[in-house]
Amino acid sequence: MDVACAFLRVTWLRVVRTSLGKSRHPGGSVQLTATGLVPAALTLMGLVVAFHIGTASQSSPDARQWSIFGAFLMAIGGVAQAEMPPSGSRTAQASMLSHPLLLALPVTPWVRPLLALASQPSQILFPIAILVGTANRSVCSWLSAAGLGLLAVVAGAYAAGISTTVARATRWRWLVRTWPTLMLLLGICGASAMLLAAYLGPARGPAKLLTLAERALSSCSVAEIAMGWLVPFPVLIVLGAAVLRVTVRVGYDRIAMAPQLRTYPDAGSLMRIADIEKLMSSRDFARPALVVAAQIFTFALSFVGAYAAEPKLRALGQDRLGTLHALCMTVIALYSCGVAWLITRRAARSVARDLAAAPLLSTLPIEPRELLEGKASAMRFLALPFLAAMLPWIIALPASLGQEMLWRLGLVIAAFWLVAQGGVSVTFLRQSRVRQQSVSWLNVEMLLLTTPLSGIVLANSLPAGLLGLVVLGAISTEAKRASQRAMRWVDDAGDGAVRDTEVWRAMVALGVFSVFGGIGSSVLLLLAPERTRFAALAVVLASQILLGAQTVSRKGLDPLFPRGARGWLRTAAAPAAGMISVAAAAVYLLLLRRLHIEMPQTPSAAGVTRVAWLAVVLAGAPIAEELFFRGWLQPALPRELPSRWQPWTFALTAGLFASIHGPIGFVPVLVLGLIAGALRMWTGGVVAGIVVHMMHNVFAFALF
Amino acid sequence: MGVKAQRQGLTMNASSLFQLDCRADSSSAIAIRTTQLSKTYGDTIAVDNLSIDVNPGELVALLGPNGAGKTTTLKLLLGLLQPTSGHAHVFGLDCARDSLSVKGAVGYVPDEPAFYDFLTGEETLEFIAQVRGLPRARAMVELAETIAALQFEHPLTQLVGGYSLGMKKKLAILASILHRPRLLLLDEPTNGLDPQSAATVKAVLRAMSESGVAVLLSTHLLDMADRLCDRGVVLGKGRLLFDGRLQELREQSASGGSSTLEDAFLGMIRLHSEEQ
Repeated sequence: MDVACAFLRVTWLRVVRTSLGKSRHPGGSVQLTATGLVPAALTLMGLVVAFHIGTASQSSPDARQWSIFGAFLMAIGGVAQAEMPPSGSRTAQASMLSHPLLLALPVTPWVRPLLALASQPSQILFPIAILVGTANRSVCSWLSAAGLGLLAVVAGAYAAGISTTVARATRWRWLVRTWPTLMLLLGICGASAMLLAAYLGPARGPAKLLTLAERALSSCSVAEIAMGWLVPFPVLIVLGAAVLRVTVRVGYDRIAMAPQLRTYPDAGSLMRIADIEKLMSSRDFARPALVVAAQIFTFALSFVGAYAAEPKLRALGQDRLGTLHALCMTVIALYSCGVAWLITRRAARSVARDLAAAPLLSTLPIEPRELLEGKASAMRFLALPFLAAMLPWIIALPASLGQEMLWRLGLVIAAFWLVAQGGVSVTFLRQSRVRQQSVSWLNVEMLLLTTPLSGIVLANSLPAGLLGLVVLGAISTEAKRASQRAMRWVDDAGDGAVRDTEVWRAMVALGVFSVFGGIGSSVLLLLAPERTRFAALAVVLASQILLGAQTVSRKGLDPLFPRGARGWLRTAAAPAAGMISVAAAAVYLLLLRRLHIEMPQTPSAAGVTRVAWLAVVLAGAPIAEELFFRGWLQPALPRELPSRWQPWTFALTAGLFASIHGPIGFVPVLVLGLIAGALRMWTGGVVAGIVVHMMHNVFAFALF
Repeated sequence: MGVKAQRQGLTMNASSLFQLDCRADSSSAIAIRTTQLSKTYGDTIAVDNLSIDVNPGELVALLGPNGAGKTTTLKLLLGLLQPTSGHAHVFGLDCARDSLSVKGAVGYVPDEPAFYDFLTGEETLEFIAQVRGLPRARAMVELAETIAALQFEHPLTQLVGGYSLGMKKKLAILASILHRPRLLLLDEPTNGLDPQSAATVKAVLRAMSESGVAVLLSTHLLDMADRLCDRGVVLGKGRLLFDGRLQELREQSASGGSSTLEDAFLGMIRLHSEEQ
């Protein structure tokens, strides 16, 4: 109990320090940032997992599993720290003392240097926390553990501050630069030591400490651990909000303050474009809502993890496993949505910055693709800490489920690597064609990257997921290729330069929606219904909403709603057109019956699954598909086609629309597409198409 | 050592600062050579059959009313625009095809400079040095005197996003001479600068020109052109109206009774539009 408390408190104090240290963000406000919390959270999770080496009996195969993942987590935490800026910053020492945040605090002057140092990035804290936690087994109350932890924080901060100062004052600049790497090595060494201890057994050397930990933890209830995980998050958020109010009141100048928060490394080190990108991003990127949401989500996730650590979970009957599986799938799917959002956001901001700085960049001897390359490499690691945070609870799952979730997580990490790789290219490509100053993160092209992701997340087997990865890889590579061909500083309407490739254009037009359609209609078929009803609901609805949101960025295209009374009057005729579509489908169905061709059966569904299925078929799919095909594709296609094809865009759209619906349903869906396309032209809006589509689907649903 | 630079109160050692490697072969001896250079935007002719030569060490003013094609000419020289017809060469390099090499040899100050808002002035210079492959520390030390002379009202340690137009202009000028270019192209270099900084900029340009750098600056300030440059190139609606010593331009119209450069310039522009 005492050792556990010491561990938890010390690590949480570290979390508090890290997040506050990162909280003076140049977004014009003070926020807690995810990037600051993630390495700390990972370290914490690594420690908690390492504890389980002790809790599980030494002979159990679980012990090995735990220790391996404890080591893995700590390594990831180290990588995340390495990805963060070097702790050495030229102005940090001087600026911290004059920081308005610090000056605003009602403390006596002598406390300020302490606080200033405590807010320094100090990776040295990690080993100190381990030392304090393990050595201090005589600590009997959590209060003294917390006091000791605070002491460790201050000492660590001083040590870090002193070491940075010494390194800067002497010729040991390499120390400042290699600090994160050193800490990563240290983390790996620590993890290896723990591994070793776990295998050597209780009798030998360091493993004794682990036995102690085991004894301590056995007296600690799950509720206590869960509280340890849960409490600091809301406290942090409330504290952050309070600090924000104070600083805003005393005046916070983002332009004046930002450079001191994160600085260019000292002269002599090589600054790559990726580093500059990270530097600017950390100063620029600030989304309070996202950060808070991410934290609440991580917090919920941690809860799941803590709960999962409860042995009762392992003893769950087979009847409950299905629910657990669905829950896990939902969490992975939602997490993926969040990370995809983050990456697309960052890509858009990054491109916006480049566009603003174009007068400078265009005069430098640098190719746009070099910039692109640097940005992609800055993005690659973005998702890793987020996703690694999911590991603890995956490990806590029963073995069969845990293994499945593990390969799923592996797939998702690989997928995000590819998405990050292609994300900037896609945004650049879009911008080179649209050529407007404001860069939207909502763009149809980006869907090309994010939709295969849903397929990968929900793949019903490992090979299916790998196939999805191959598809995503192809798209990402093509996006990169196309952007490298298209990007140039010459931005002259008359230069005849290629602004994207044919392949890319075709991919954008066709690929996006077919993937979406596939998910919308087949996710319930792919996966056993009773195990996946939550996941299916979440993903289908998320994808539909995302698709609907895409229509926000359809600038310059025809409006979605009919204009004037005439347009609406014509729209009122939609049910009649819908009857034609239904009649055509009925005739086709009769024909099939005559020919003794069986339509594939939809899965028998009940309860929640049936409601989800109904929502998708009757409301989600018609709206989403009409928004895409009639709302976006039909008016967008003429811009990509030679003029003689242009009158036939509605037919072409209908053909593409039918082709994503499978071979047997092709004919009635084609008729539906033609009718909806004609209505789009006649009424000037997509409402009529949606009505017809819904009627068609109700008919289809009622019949099967 | 530039005498005029000394007069400006500068202690800039031009010969050491902007020492150039003058072993260029004959084909690349000419800093700028445009032959029948034309550029049209749709129906608008921005540059019309422009043929000029600029030699190393020359300080040339590109004059003309708004819309005369000054900026377009500069952009064509940097390879930022593709010419509709004709060619532009910088040190023997084709501007349209070898744009990267041209950018490596040329310093350019845009009319409206823009930078990364989230880098500080220093970091911006370091970033540029990095991209141009210069040792960062050396570049900054060498610029220190110029930085001091330009009198930045905010320190360079603040984010560029907070700079005024004048500050950005000064930063752009610093950025353009960071790599000791052999040719400087400046678009309205003293626009938005206070008189003192403008004087410093002029001194820097003169010093660079004396050390063998070719300087082509577009301006609408005839006064400045008159005092800074010997040679002037006057454009009107993309066409070359005059190319020669500014003294000659003044003398040309002296017969008409006036001898200021402004009168001569206005007379020439009027004459040109009457011809059209």
